[in-house]
Amino acid sequence: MNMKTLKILLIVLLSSVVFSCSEEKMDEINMELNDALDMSVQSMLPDIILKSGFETASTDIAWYATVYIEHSAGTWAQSIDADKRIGQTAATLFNNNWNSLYDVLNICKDVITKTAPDGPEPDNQFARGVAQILTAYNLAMVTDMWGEVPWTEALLGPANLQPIYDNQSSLYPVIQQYLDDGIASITSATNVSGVGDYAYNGDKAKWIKAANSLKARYYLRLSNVDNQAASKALGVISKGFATSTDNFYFKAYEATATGENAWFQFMNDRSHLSVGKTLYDLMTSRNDPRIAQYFTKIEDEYVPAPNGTATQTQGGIYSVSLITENGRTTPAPIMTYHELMFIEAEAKFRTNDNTWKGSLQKAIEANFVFHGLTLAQGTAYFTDVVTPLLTSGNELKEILTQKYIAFYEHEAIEAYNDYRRVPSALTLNNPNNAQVGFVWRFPYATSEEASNSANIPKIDVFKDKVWWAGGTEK
Amino acid sequence: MKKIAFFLSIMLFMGTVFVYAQTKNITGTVTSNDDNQPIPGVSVSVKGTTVGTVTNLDGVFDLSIPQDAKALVFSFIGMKNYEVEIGTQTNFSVKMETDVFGIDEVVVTALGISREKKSLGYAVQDISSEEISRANNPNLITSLSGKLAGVEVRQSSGMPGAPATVLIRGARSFDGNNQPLYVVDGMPITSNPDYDQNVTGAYYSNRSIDIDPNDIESINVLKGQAAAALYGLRASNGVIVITTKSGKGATKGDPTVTLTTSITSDVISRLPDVQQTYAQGYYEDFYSAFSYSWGPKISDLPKIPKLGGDALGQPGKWWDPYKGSWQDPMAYNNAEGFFQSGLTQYYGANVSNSTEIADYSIGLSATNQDGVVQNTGMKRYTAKMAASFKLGDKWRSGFSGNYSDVDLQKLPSGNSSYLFTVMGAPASFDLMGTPYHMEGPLGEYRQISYRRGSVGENPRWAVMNNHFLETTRRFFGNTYLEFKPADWVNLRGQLGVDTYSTDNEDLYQKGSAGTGQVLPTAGDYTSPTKTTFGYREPTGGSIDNYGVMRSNINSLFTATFNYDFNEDLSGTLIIGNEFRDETSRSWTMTGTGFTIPGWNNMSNTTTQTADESKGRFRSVGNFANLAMDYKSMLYLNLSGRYDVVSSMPTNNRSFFYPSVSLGFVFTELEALKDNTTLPYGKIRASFAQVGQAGSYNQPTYYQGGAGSGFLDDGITYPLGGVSGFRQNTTVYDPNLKPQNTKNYELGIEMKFLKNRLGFDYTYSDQLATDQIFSVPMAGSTGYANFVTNAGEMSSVAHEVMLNIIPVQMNDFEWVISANFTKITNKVVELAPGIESVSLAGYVTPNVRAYAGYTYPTIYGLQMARDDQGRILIDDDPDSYYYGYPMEGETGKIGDVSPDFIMGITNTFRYKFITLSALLDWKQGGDIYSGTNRLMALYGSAGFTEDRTSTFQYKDTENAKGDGVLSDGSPNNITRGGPDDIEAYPDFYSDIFGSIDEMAVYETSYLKLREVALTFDLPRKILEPVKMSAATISFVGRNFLLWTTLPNVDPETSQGMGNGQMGFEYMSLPQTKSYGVTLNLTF
Repeated sequence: MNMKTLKILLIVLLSSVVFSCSEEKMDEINMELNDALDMSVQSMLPDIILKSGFETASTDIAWYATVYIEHSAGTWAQSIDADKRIGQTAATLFNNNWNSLYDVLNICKDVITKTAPDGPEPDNQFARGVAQILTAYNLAMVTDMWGEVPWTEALLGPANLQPIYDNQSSLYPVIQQYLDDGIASITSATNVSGVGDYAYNGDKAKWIKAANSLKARYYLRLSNVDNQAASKALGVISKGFATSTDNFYFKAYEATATGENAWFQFMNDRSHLSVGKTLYDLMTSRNDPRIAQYFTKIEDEYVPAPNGTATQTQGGIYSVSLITENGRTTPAPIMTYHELMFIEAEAKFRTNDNTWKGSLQKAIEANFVFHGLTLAQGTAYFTDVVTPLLTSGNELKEILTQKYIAFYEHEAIEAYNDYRRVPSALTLNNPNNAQVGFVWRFPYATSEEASNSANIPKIDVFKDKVWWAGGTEK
Repeated sequence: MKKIAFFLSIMLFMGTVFVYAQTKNITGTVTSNDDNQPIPGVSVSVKGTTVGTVTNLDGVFDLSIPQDAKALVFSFIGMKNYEVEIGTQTNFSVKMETDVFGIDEVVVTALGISREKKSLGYAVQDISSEEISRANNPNLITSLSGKLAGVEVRQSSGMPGAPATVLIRGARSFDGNNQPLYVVDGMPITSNPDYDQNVTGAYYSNRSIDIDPNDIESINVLKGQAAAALYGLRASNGVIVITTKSGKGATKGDPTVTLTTSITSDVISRLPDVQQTYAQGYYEDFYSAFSYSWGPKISDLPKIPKLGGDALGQPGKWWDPYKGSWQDPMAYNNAEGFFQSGLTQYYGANVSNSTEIADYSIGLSATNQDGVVQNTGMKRYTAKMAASFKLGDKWRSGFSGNYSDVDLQKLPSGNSSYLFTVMGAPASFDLMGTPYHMEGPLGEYRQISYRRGSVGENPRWAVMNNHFLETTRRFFGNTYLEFKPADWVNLRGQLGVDTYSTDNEDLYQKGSAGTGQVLPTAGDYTSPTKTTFGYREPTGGSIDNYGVMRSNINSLFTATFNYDFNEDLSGTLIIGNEFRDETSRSWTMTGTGFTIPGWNNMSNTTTQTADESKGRFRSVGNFANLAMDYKSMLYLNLSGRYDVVSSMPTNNRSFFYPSVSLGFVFTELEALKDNTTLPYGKIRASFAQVGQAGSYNQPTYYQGGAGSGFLDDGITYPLGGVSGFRQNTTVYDPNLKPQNTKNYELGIEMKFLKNRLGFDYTYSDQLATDQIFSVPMAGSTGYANFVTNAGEMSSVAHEVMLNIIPVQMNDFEWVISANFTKITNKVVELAPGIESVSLAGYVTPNVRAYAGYTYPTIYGLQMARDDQGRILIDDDPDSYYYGYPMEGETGKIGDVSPDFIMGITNTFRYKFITLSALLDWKQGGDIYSGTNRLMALYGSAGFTEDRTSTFQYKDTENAKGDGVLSDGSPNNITRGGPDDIEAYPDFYSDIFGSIDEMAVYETSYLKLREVALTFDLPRKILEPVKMSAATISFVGRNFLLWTTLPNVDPETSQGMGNGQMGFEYMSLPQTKSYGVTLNLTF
């Protein structure tokens, strides 16, 4: 090789080096190969419904609520800790749910942004409506459990790493507004596709009923702080569910390991819960036929676990939920017709509308059917057992006791909300309520403690109630 | 000694065999200055050329040299280099001086550049093949433990192929890569695992497992950034430069054949101490299907209701509900029964030769390892060939190619561990004697376990039915072409490839508890009145097939120019370019729910999901290095590298890094020259700046799903035939820039007393700024992580290498070499408003980077303390937990980093027998021991055996002081005794079991890491059988252990990477080994 060929070789080498690392070439190499760079809102719909039905309605919040409310007794690991009130102030306790709630809110926000008039998909008003309704539902969940929570500065990503906390009193109007907006969007929607709608398969009318039913729930939630709460609720109930077939379910569960009902997975994976004696005693004292639908037997007997003092076990000592044991693919109730009827009964009672007993009867009958009994059995139970208990001064207590019994076990969150709203309606028996305290609200999450600690209100979960439960906002 | 050295020198000899046309013959004899004995194996080369040979057994050499050759250079390990003018002389008589510490030693530095060790301005340390392979350790990384100053090896377990991490001078990255770069024969190779493991599933091996340690000739560790700077962006964590065996040192003529075989027995290094008194149950009642051993005394089982024989006509017996028969009550040590002894067999063959125009080395090896648990193991086959050729006068070429085939059979750990039901098995349950599955329809898939839940799996059933396979087939190698048109210039081009595919299969058999099978509950077991098991239909099962293909192409071009300015000053300039291109593809296919039991194939599953991931990466680096040498006394080294990487944002992907180092051999000063007390002394200083690139991604949407921390599965798409998508929860900063590490290093080397004492101290100060990390975001921002630049981490290291020869006689020699490391690796700050970030572990406890503390720390639920930091004791007499510590806040509960580590090797040689022993001492550092926590919670630990004495908190396991009452007075509350039987279970289950800090242990240890007794058979025995060398070694690893941690080997760890060594949770055990090696050379 002479120097000339060497020079040529060097020039070729150098130019290939320059070409091989130009910005354009490097951009091409670093191009995203695995995930989509954009997504249609229709393809995001399944995830907001799944997350709302599974993570929001049916996981940790519900599993702690069922223990706090004594539907169940925690008899293993974290659930027995909940029963004994060990570690209930830890920021880690509900960190997953806090994050998943804001996560689904953020996905909903993206759908709402994309379907705005100036967005890329203004035509999909159906997806927009669903996202608005689910924003209301998930936002209500956050504030119901935690009280003061970020909203006005939330969901901004790196643009605001430390969102301030808003008062619950300012968020309830927002929740109602999102439901109204959702109703309006769905009403205006054309060319609706049911693909990925795990709740109603694209049935606009049912979504509108669900939104109105939720409105009723959130109106009545304010019974302690808004003297118009009951009448506002009554104003929307007629537009809500008309029968149990309208129930707002997440109903896409499948009989596979990665498609099963959340409660079923929890029981199989963890075996943390046993039947709470508080619920069982209320039912036995009423000779409630739903006992046979609700609980398993241990050697031919029902053995409830005493709340707060049960022996640690992963099964074999106490009865567990038959609803869940048989519920591999049972739909997850986000809101039911029987709940709406209980709301109607309470709201009518509160507004001195003497037809409230009829609403209560409908609620109980619907719940009997919901749990696999007949409507006639419900009627008989209402007539023979419930009616004699509706003595003067005891009415509200029995309405809420019936609601409490009806909500086992998948509607524990609303039972927890009702107890916090009207504690006088239910006598809890866990001795740790006196020893340590009832968990009136949830401790703020680790992710906030770690990255937004300056804004977190200082609260005592055992003493400070949320605003609608009679607490003072911080 | 010289005979051993002869063989060593053959391997180490760097000279070559090429002959020029115009030649003359020279001969000579090399003898030792000490005893006038001939030295075989001395390399003799013509200065400035590649012409050379080695002396024979009589110290005689015979060499054809070019007519114009100026000088001869003689070099031999342990001797000072000797240089002589040739002139007209044709016969040479050379005396070489002893140089025990290798002052003239040549080491391989960055980019394969050979340099005299004394010329370096930074610390390097090399290990010989003998040190690496001495103890038959099939794992390259763990074989480095204790042998290097400034280097900490964090192991995970002794399971076949178990991963380990190597930290050189601590960590520089919070949650990024802190592992050094591995370079084999000049070619950077992938060494990190392709998958992470945290708290579930099986581990993944480091890809350095693909290298057979016996194939390594030497390892040189470039510790500081100045040493490694020429590697650019990948150099920030130091470099492990591996040179494999080659034919370069082989004697001309017949090939040299080396056969190596070893056989090693592995056993669990430490069995837990288990209680042998109490049965399954709680508060003195027996419960079946229950994880606690807080039940009645085993001797009282005949008295228990329903199952006790005393009242049922079987006095003295009890009905064992798992065996389904009347049994004498007995205590079983289930952990001891479960583990077996493993066996590792190694067979290796190497043929090497050197001819006039080429040299080569061919190696084959097979490693067959059976782990300490049934159905675990590693099978590794490697084949390699390296050769170099002379192509005319100015050209030469060569290649090195390595093929490996590594099959692993692994075990899961953490949440998926089988050890829950081994370490936690009640003493009343006969794990090894009870059938692990039922009889009757589908009995094989209906396991008999003593407890429920997804971790309740019978470990024997799991080992026989589930499996975790990892198979990797890999080729890496490179070829080069070198052109030397003139004495002062050398051009070299090298092209390498590293390509492999890994195929994994995780199988959970139908009936496995982790995949939906509900294990039998109390009512399903047998009783005297119901002698058959209740029927539960086998369900579940899953199969995960996943793998990765990764291919790296690496080209390296260098041009080297030498110039002697005058007699005293010379310089070498290297300029070059490195190009690296990587493509990868990984995929996962998951099938759940087997339809037909026992047919473990994807096509038999009811649901399948699949996923793939593709990756591309390119980096291009241009670099220059200038080395100046003044009077062999002052050495200056300057280098710079400019890198362009694809994985950073547009217009932010090119970076320049400089380094400078200075070495001053002060014993070359006239006043100090030829001083016998201090024959050699050098001070060195360096500064370097090196970056580390991050990965920038565009905003994307991906498949969503749902879950909960409580659930094994949650919901995976597709669901109902559709999939849902959502935006990424990680946001990438479009202004991302590379993180930067600055390093100052100072060092001093001295050799005293005729070189019988050598000392090398290094001080290093690193500051890594603009960390690229996933800053955790408050949930309310709607996102989880923000990948940006923030934070600083510092690392101050003190390293000492010490070599002492207390005794040196003809027949007997005693050598001590010690490495001492003290590293303070601190997180200076994280992102604004961020106090700590989780690296690995659970929600709590976990391992974290915590601002203001050493890296990493353990984080979790603390014990409540008063203002003075004393542990507060619950003094409410109505509390269940009266007299016990209480829950405090979550925060830092331990520091993972040790105070110091030290490895001491003592080598004794008597004639042909050598005994060497490596003691490894780690002082300080904490671990969260989940195994101890669970063994306490379950009541299976030996420390729960006493359940009758009264006690105070200070008497309990791992008590961290006396504690004080709420009024500040010393804790005087006594619990336990016959009227307080719930005291022990309440303490260990509820308190010890729930406050993370109580299971944090200090893990100081002293281990006899390696022992080898080697017989190097004398020549008079070997000559009649035509062998040139034969050694037999008896070796041991990891036996003798002193530690502060109970029940678990302190080198047991969960997870991989940055979290390693911080916590263990039913993690896989360490092993200790005994073996023998036979090495024959023909």
